[in-house]
Amino acid sequence: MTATPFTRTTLVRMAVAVAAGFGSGVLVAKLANAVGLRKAQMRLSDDLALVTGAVLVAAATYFLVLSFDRRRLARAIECDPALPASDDEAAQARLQAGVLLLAGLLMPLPVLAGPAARGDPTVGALALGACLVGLGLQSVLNWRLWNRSDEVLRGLVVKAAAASFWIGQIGLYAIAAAVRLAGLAEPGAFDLLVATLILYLAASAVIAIRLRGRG
Amino acid sequence: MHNRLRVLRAERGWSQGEVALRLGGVSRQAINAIETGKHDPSLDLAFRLAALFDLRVEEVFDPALAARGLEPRR
Repeated sequence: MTATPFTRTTLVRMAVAVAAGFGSGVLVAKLANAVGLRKAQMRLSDDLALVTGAVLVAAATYFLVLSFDRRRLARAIECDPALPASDDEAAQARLQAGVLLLAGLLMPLPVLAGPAARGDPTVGALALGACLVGLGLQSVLNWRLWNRSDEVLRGLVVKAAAASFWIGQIGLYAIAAAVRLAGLAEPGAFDLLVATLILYLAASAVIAIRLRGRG
Repeated sequence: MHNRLRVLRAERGWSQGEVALRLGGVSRQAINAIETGKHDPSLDLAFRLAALFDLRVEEVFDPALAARGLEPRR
């Protein structure tokens, strides 16, 4: 059987994804070890926050690299690849990279700084300050991204938000009922935050893929 | 929704980017998404697109054609 260019490209992308996933896993494990995180003390949401953070940083890097290759960027945003991406489109990709990078750093920061913060309140205050400053900066970038977007991108964001709210509300009701009625351990704010973000990312990915597949 | 955007654009020799630039506030990604039927434009954008080509909205967009699987009127 001869591999078509499409299958070759897909296989190469899969190999790169596997290598990137393995590399990120090793990096996250080393980082967790370096800051004194012990597996026995970690909750599922801590693990997910570290993995999600790594995925977001990888996605930010991809967008940043892409923004310097105008033809590939034009192809990636589904425009005529004969015409390279404009300055405005490259700036939009860099803004997107900034939002993803900050999300990728903010997500695992409370987990990674947790052990040191428990031992020293000053470290805790500094880490919390960094979280809040990062959150403020990310909100500004998100706002700028929204203002620069047109109705296609805004529609995608609104659909993803509606889908994740709807699914999240169902899940939250089921958990709340189980806590009251079946003695399920109450989830913490961080557990719910991680679940919300993962739900939103999954909804965005599904809606974006469906949008690409139509037509 | 079925539309004649690609044909109208080709008749004038405009690129997707040029259409987006003439309209303002819309990306060429959006023009591409509309042309390929991946995005149904808002009423405002549909009217602005029709006005750009000096046509009525129903001369650019025809939802019934897509539903019936018919070719556009010539």
